[in-house]
Amino acid sequence: MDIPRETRRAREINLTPLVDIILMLVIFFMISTSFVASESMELSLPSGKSDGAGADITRILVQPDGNVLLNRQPMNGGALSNHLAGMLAENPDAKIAIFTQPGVSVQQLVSVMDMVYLTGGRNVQVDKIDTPYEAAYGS
Amino acid sequence: MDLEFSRTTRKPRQVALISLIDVMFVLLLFFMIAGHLEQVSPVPVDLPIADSGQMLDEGPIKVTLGFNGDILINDARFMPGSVVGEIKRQLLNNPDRVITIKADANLEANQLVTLLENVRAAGGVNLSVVTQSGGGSY
Repeated sequence: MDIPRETRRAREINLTPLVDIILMLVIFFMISTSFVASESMELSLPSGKSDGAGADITRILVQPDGNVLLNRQPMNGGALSNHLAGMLAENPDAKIAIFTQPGVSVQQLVSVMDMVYLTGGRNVQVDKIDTPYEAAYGS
Repeated sequence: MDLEFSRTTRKPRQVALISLIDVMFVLLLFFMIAGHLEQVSPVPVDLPIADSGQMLDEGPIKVTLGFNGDILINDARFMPGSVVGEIKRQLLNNPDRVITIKADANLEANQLVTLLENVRAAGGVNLSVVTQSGGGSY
C-alpha cells in the first residue's frame, strides 16, 4: 500500500485578508480620530440676579478692539493681569464681574476669563450690556 | 545547432507583504493611542482657545451654541424660547447635574451670556465652558 507522504514544503499563510482588515482599521481610526484636546473651564453662576450695585466688585469691561476697561480705566492685557494679581494677593476671594458688549466675540470673552483664572481669580461672574458701556457703571 | 535557453520561471512572484503589514500596524497603533474618538457634533463648533482649561468629564447636559447661533441641547435643536423649559426638565431629578457649554469662538459674546442667563434662570448651577488648549495669547 502506498501512503502519500505529507509534503514537507513550508506552507505559507495567506496574509491578504489580514492586510485588508488592518487597512480598514487604519482608515477607520484615521477618519474618526481627533487630535483637538478639548478642555473645560468651570464657571460659577451667582445664584441670584447679579447685584451690579455692590461697591466691592471689580468690573472688567471687554471691548471689541481687544482692550479692556478695569473699573473704567482702559488697559491692555498685561497691565490688567498685573493689576488683578496685586488685587487678588490681598483678597483672593474678590468678586470680579466681566461684562461684554455688542461686538465682542466669544473668544475675546474667554481670553479675558482665562486671564482672570490664570491670575488666580475664582469668584467670577459674566454679564452683558446691550447699550454703550457707560450703562454698566451706572452712577 | 541547438541552443537551449533557460526559460524564465512563470511562477507568480509573491509581493513581500510583511513589511507592509509592519508599517500598517505602526500606523494603527499610532492612531489608536495618540488620538481619541470624538462624537461628531451635528453643528460645527470652533472652540475658543484658553490656557486655564482643565481636563473635565463632559456633563450629562450638553448645550451647544453653533457657529450660526443654533442652540442644541444634547444634540437636539431648540428654539431660543424653549431653552429654559428644556434645561429645567433636564434638571428636574438632579439640580446639580453638570451643564457643559460649547460655544463657537466667533460668535458674539452677548449670545453666550444670554444663554448663560437662560441656564441660570432654569436653575443650573454647575457649569463648564469647553475650550481647547493652544497657543492662545492675549
